[in-house]
Parts: sequence; C-alpha cells; structure tokens
Amino acid sequence: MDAKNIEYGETALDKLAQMLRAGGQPQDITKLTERYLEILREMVQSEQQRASAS
Amino acid sequence: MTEPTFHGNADQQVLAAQVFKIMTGQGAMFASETAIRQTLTNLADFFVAQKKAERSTVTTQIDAAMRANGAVFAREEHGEEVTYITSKQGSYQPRSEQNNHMFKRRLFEPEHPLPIDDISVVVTTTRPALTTVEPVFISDYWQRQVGILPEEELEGEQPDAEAVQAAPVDQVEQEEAVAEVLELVTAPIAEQPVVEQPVVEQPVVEQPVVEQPVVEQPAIKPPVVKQPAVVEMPAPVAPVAALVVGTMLTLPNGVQIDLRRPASDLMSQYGATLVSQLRSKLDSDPLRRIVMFGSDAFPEMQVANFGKNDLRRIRDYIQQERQQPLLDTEIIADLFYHNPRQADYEAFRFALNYRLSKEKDFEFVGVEGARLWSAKGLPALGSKRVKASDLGQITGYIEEGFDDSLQDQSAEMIRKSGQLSHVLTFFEWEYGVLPLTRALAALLPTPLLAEQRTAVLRFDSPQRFTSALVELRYPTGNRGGSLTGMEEFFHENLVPGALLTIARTAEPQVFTIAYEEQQEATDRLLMLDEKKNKFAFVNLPYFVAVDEDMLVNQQRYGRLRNLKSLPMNERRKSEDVLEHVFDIIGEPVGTRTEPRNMAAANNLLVAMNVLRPTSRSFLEHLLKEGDRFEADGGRDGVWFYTPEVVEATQQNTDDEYDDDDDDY
Repeated sequence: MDAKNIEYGETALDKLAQMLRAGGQPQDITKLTERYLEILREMVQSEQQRASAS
Repeated sequence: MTEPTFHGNADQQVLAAQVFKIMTGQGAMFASETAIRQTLTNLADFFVAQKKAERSTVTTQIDAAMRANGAVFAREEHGEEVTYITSKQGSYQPRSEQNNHMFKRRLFEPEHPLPIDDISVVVTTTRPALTTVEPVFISDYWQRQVGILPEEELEGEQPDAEAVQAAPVDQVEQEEAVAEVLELVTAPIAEQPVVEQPVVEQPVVEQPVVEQPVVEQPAIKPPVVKQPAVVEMPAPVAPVAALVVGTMLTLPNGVQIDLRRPASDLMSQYGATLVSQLRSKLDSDPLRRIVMFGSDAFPEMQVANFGKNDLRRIRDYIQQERQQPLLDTEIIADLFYHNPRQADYEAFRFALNYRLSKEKDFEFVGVEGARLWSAKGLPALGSKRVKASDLGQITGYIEEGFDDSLQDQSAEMIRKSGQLSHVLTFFEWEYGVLPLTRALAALLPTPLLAEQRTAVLRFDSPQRFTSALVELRYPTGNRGGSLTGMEEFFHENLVPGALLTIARTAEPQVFTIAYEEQQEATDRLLMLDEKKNKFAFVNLPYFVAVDEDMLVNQQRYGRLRNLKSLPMNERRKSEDVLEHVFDIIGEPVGTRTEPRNMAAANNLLVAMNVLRPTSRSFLEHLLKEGDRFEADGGRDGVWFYTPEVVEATQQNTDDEYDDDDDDY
C-alpha cells in the first residue's frame, strides 16, 4: 500500500487487534505503537516489491 | 456536407460530380460515414437514357471518370459486376469500432478501482491464477495490479485484434488502430488462414486496401511503425512504478515519517507523538476494537464482562469490609480467587480495571504500578475542616507560577534522589495539608488516567511505626493540588517549623515521612482554639529539629494571638488576608490620624502561612501589587502598610493590641 493512502491509527487496525488477540495479554501502548509501525512498514514494502517486480 | 474535389478532364469531373450527386441522393437518409453502393450497370442505364448515347461508350466514360476519382469512389468487382462505393463524407472509410467504453471493459478495468490489500479477497486461492486471456476468469487489470501478470505478458497479447482495438483513446490512437486492422487483415493472410476466411467472404473491407490504396494511408502508416516501441514499453515502466510508491506517512498532526526506516528508529525520534496519536485514534475508534486502561491496550472483544452481582460484591467489599481503597490484585485474589500464575490473569486484571473505570460507583485512585479502587460512599480522607474546593483556590497561586519550592533543590535532583525536604508551616501543621508544589509533584506519581482527580498514597513513618492514608489531589485548571490526611501525624509528632523529609519507596504508592529528632524542648507556640475560634500561645513540648524562623512562638510572633481565624472562604482572598496580617503583625509607625505599619517580609511570610499557604514569591507579588503597601527604600525586605482610616473602628483596633499572656 502506498503510504499516501495510509490513515495513521485507522489503516490495518484490524491486523493490530488480531495480533493483540493472538498474544492474549494486554500490551503497553509504546510496544503496541512500535508493532503498528512495523505492520505499516511491511505493507508499504510489499507494495514496493510488487511495483518493482512488475 | 462539403462536395469533394473531382479529378480528371472536364467531362470526367462533370460526370463524377453527377454520379456523386446521384449516389448521395440515393443515400440521403444514410449516416454520413455509411457506404453508398451503386453498380456500373445501373449508372450506365441512367446515363444512356439521359444522354441518348451508345451504352458501351457511356459505360467506358463512367468507368474512366470513376477511376480518375478513386479517392471518392471505391471500386468493387463481383464477377462481371462492378460496384462503386462512396459516402456522404466524400469517400468511404471502413468503420472502426471504439469499444473501450463498453460495459465489459468498464467492468474489468474500472477507471477508479477499489484498493485491495490481498488478492485472496478477489481470487480464490484454490484455483491457480491465469496467465492467459482466454476464458477471462480474472481481469488483466486486477492481475497487473497485484503483480500476478507482468506487463510484458500483457503487451505480448497485442496482436489480438480485440486488444489492439481496446487501446486507442484519442483520435490519433484510433487511426493507429484502423491502420493496424487493415494490416492485420491484409498482411498476415498467409500466416493466419483463419483470419483470411472472413476476408474472402466479405471482400468489402479488403478491396479498398488491396486495389485502391487510400490516399490518406501514408499519413496513417508511420504510427504503425511505432508498434515495436509499444512492445518495449515494459522496460522503463518497472522503475517508474517503484518510484511512485510513496513511503512518507503523514500523521494527523502533520508530522511526516519515512516508513522505510526501522520502527525502533522512528520510535526513538517520534515516540511521544506516535504514541499519543495512536492513543487518540484508538480512543476515537467507533468500533472500539482496542481499548485502553492506563498505558495498557487490549482487544475489546476479549475483555471479560462483570455482571451486577460481581460489581456489587466488589463495592461491598471495599465499602463495608475493608473500608479503604483496595488494589486490583487484592480484589481479584479475595473475591475472584484468580491466581497470578494463571495464563489469563493479566487479561482478567485488565478487564477488572477497564470495567470498573466505566462504572459510576467506583473511582480510580491508583497510580502507575498500583491500581487502587475506591467505592462510592467510602469516608473521605483528610480533614473535613478544609473543603477541597477552598483548598484548591487557596493553593491556586502555585498554578499561577508563584512557586519557589525548587529554589533550594531541583526537580531533577528530587527525582534522582527520590526524596525532598520541607519546612512545615502553621497552616500545613494545623490542617494536615501540604500544597502540591513543583518540588512535591516531582516526587509524587502523576495521574494514570486522563480524567483522574485524586490518588490515594500511604505515608509510613519509620520512626513512629505508623502509617496514614493520604489523598493526593491533582491540580485542575487554576486550582492547586494538595496532599491531605496528615493532620493526626503532624499534631502527634511535629510542630510548625519542623523539617520534614519525604521519600519514595519501592512501592509506587507508598512513601516515608521522616523528621530529625532532638532533645525535648518546650516553647509557647501558637495554637488555634477551634471552640473559641481564636489563636493563642500555649506551652508545648516537642522533640523535633525546627527552623527557628518558621517556629511560631510567642517570643517572636506574640502579636499573632490577635489574628482572626478567618473563615476558609475569606482566606481565598489573598489581598485581604495580607492586609489583615500586616495590620496585626506590623509595628505601628504612623500617627492616630495617619496610621502606618511596618513589617519585615520574613515575618509577614510566617504570619501569612498561619492563615493560608503562601510562597515567598507570591507574598512579594502581593506586596508589590497592593496599593497600600510600600517598600522601604533604605532597608531590603521591609515594607510599610497604610491601612484605611476608619474612625469608628480605629479605637477598637488599638484596643485589640494586647501583649498580655493568654491564660489558655
């Protein structure tokens, strides 16, 4: 996904919630934010790879 | 409709014009580009009748005129029969189909496609992705979007006549497509016999190309040469596409971050912003997918619910059995018998805290690391003699910036050492209250929740083996904060002027309070007789080291026995309190008609702190701003006060000065 289309705090929130559910434990907001950034980063990178492959 | 220019000799031009007129008349109701056909035989019959000439001669003349104007009249031969074709436009052009707006194309290649995160949403994973166009299962567009089908393959399909026709958008491209169609129909006949068949059956299209090369053809042909260039397109497309994918993410507050950087790097640079932005987004999420308590986050779906019976049990346990705020861990252990070794313990703990925070009957009074809960109806901590609202306004000067508590010790030092020293004033001692100065705030924990107003702390005295629950009221707006609930400890062990040391412990809500002990000393110290509502000096033994300047004894501050114990709501008015205090403690230096009092700022500070907490900077502010106060130019820290002359009360005021010992 292009970073321009990302709404911080809205895009991929389901993924974040899913990750949190899988953990089964409450998580500190700082760690959660870092994990959220990683998710967004992965989305942008995968889009870049697709674009370069095509 | 413009008439075309005819060629040939004069007779041929006239004849061609007549034929054109006849044929356009014949196709008067036709569309402008529709072919109008007429046979040579019919034309010859018409002109023989008109010219009364030989049939063979007329036929030859017509055919010659038509050949001379081949651009206008296309010629077809069907065995013996010759047919001429033209249109109202002046020449016949095979019609080109522009079908890029067809529903089929719009369905599979929308102009503004919806974004898809995952191809599995569109394509079933049980079926392999198609790489050819034949039965169209997934549109090329979508395959290209998700990278299943590379650009090269798509371009490789170009020879397909349908694909070629789909490409043109504007007029030039449309002409290219026409030229391509013509070439495809004529050139590859030997290679593609399948394509040849319709050409033989429908020579209408073939004829103009083979026999009569259209005049405009050379102009159209050059673009056809471009075809190989189109095939080469994919090479530069790839890097361009890679560059187009943006990596700069704009946060709601306008800060831009580069998502190519590792998350840990971004957190170290923008951590506070990223956390607060995500937090506010989670709070405003209408689906409440992730909920927060303090700094913990958890999916709302997994937060356990507590029924009415559970909440009633918790409330009764806090109110009636323990009668004090309780830690969440105590509630869980005593009422729900959950063990910290259980896998879901932390999730259950989060659920308890989160659900209680949504209930009106419970109030969170904990801090980070010690989540305490108070229930409605629990007796308030601290003295009832000072209302929280009065105290908030009385200590409001701290929020106004008149706080000099960090003059002797920095906030950083307090945080690092975990302790601070404080000299107790009369007001603090009398009511068991400590204003929440910046020094104290540096030591005490901050609120865990945004809407939290109070926290309950425990102050232990290692010297007396006692402890007291203390309420920490956080400042709100222009109201100051305070610590209340130490009245009993102060009265039993300390005197005004005592030097205190408050230190934190390993537990976040537990603090120690200590003082320096010394040999017993006795002095006549100021006391407030609540029954008589007046101040008096009494003999009082004490065992604590004191700051002599702040010790309110009779020897130094004897005049304070005349101080009025103003109601709390009057003590909010700091200017009025200062005038009253100055009037009492000041030394009269004026006359009866022009009264004037003189006092040192140090004495005024002690006297002010009898009635209300006051910092030195706040006192100086009041003295400088007051109209009736004047600094002594010669002596530093000495002030004059000119009271308002009221004849009737002046006598009474003078009479009130009485230095005799009180028998209290």
